[in-house]
Amino acid sequence: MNIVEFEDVNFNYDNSAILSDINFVIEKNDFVAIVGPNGGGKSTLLKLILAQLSPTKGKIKVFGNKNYKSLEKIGYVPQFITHQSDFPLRLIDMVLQSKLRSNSLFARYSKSDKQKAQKILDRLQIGEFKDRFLAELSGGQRQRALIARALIDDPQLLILDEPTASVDITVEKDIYEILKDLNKDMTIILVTHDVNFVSKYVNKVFCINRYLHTHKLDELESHNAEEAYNNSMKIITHKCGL
Amino acid sequence: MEFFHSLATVAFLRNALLAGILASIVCGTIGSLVVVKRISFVSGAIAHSVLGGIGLAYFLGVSPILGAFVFAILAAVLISYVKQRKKQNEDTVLSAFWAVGMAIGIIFMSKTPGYNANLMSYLFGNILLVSNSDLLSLLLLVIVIISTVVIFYRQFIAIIFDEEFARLKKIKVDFMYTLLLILISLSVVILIRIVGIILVIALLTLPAAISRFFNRSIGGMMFWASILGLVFTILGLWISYVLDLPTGSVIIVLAGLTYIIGSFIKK
Repeated sequence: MNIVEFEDVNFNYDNSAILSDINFVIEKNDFVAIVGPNGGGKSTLLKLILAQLSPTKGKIKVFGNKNYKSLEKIGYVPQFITHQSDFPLRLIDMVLQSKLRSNSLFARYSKSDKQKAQKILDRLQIGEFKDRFLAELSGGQRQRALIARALIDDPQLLILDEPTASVDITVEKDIYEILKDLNKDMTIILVTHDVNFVSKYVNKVFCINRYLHTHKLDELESHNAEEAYNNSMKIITHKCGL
Repeated sequence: MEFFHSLATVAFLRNALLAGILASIVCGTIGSLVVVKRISFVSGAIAHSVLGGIGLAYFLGVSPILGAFVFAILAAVLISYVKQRKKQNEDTVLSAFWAVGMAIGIIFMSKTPGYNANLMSYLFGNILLVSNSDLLSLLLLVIVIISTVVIFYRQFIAIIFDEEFARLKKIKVDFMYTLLLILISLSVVILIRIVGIILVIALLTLPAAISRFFNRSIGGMMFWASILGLVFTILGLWISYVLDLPTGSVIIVLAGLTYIIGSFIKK
């Protein structure tokens, strides 16, 4: 079963085409980087996968299902908007927000929810900070917290929107190492600007600039030729207008 | 000291104090949500559109608080609807609510004999005119507001912190946002008695904003914003009583000064 499948998908907004003729398949345990210029349709593509938008034309299947409402199986990590960095909320309370459901009055979290949260925070090495407020965390810790929040529902697909946009390069590496580890258990899609860095970790690169160009990196690497790899990077950056 | 003696014995001062206590609780709770969600402009639009309801109520000869109540809820629902549609520029729509509501109010009041004094008291509030029946309706509104916040606390925080994520987790974001705006509307109706339409945003946001300087949790913010609101109200009553100044304005000036001092200390 494919995790995500797009068949001739078009998306128009106010009569202008944002995405055209998008065809791709994301398989189990793929690690996909979506790159492309601003306004090229990266976030639209994510929103289509997350069923926050419907395609103008074409078919989208997620987990093999056309009318998927099983969003619990998708973990989503949004960009950490800077104005929220001082939001008066404890790390653990933010992570547990994943366990809120629409109709729970006096929402309480169960003991197992809390244990689960602790386990995930420990795995991401931020367990000791669980009672800290978001303002007291570093950029990298905050980003891990967002990943933890997405992981608490045991997603089979993890989607991240520019997870390393606001962190320095060492933290960026840490985060990709974490994702690489998580990739053993789940399929990962991430949007990024930095195609060169991310290419060491992912197996597919999607360039979106209204149209889609896919690149499979694992096939290239099996030749183990540095030159082929570099050429491929050049093609990616060129086609994506980066 | 004469003032504090009078607080206990003079009915209108006692009512003013009780109204102040109720208003402070509202300021602290709803104000904190307004401050962290950054929607004071939305609150302002709701507050000013309420004048339309007050004017209409005067014209029809029904209770102004009822008119305010109906228009506030109406404004909340419409503003939330506009936000969800995302077709219009929200800023422009809010400004329209702000101005058109006031214009409607003033048209109706001008067609109602003897409107002038009343207009002033709704624009700038008059905490000294709070009657026993006013107090009862204020108390009722406070109970409704506080219990709603308690019931939906975590959902409110979730939609304020990250609307997109909350939507994915199937929290009814649009419903919760409308509910939040309705709570703001109810608060506005309460606070108008104290400081009036023009100053209501200040009383809603300043205590919460000051409280945020020294609180890291939203619960703490709510508690200390309520205490601050109470201090400003009592001090404002006292100073305006001694110096014969308009109470609502004194309360706001006190809150504003504290906010400025607080922001310097925070630096």
